[in-house]
Amino acid sequence: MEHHLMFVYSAYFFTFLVLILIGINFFLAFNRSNKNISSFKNKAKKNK
Amino acid sequence: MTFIFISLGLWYGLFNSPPDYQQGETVRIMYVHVPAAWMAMMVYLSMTIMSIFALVWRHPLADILSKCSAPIGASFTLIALVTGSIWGKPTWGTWWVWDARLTSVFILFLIYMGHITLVRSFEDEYKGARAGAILTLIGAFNLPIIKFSVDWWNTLHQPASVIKLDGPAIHIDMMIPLILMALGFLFFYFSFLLINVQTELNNRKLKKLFIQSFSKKN
Repeated sequence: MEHHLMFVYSAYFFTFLVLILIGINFFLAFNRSNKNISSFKNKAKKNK
Repeated sequence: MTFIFISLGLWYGLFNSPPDYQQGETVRIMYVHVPAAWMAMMVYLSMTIMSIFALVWRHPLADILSKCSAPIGASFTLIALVTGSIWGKPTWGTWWVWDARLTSVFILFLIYMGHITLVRSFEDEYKGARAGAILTLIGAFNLPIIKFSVDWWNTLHQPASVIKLDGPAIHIDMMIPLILMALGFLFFYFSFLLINVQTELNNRKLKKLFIQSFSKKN
């Protein structure tokens, strides 16, 4: 039975690993896009 | 909401639901495998509807929603494939068989990957979105094949036991964590879809600002 629990835990581990990794990836992309826009606007203001 | 439903589903699924009389503890894999498989199909169905909107009514947000849904749908499909494989080893004695259900879900994963690649491979966003929408509509024929493959062919995969015309065939103690995890995954999809859409809109806005400033200079 303990041998079977290893399968259960590995399935849960894989599921949450994928969800956490894509979650972090999407958050980083979102923050990067926000930063890019604000830095572009700042540069445009300076150039004026 | 995502965190609450997934936490409750985890607690219920791992500690509060009974083991199966035949499969023992391995039945707990169902609480991540089945909701992930549902989400894989639901996300693709929503992408199909968005593609119809994009092709027929040329709605720009439909393109963005479809583009942003694809990576999430692909992740859910990958989770369904891998957890199914992990569940298959102790239950069937093999990690993988090329039967109708497993193969059709694998094809769904390939369609998702094809969509992600195709949409991003065009310089012109409009052309990329159009090609992606056509691919999604062609791939939509795979959805009924996935759903009914277990009825149409003899497969190792068990037939449907929750979404059935004559009602679910599983016990309420197993149904509760299944529904909780499915709701958690659904909220996960909506939350990250919104984040992805905002990122895509930001990137398009940046591109537009860049072109505007460049044309002003020249």
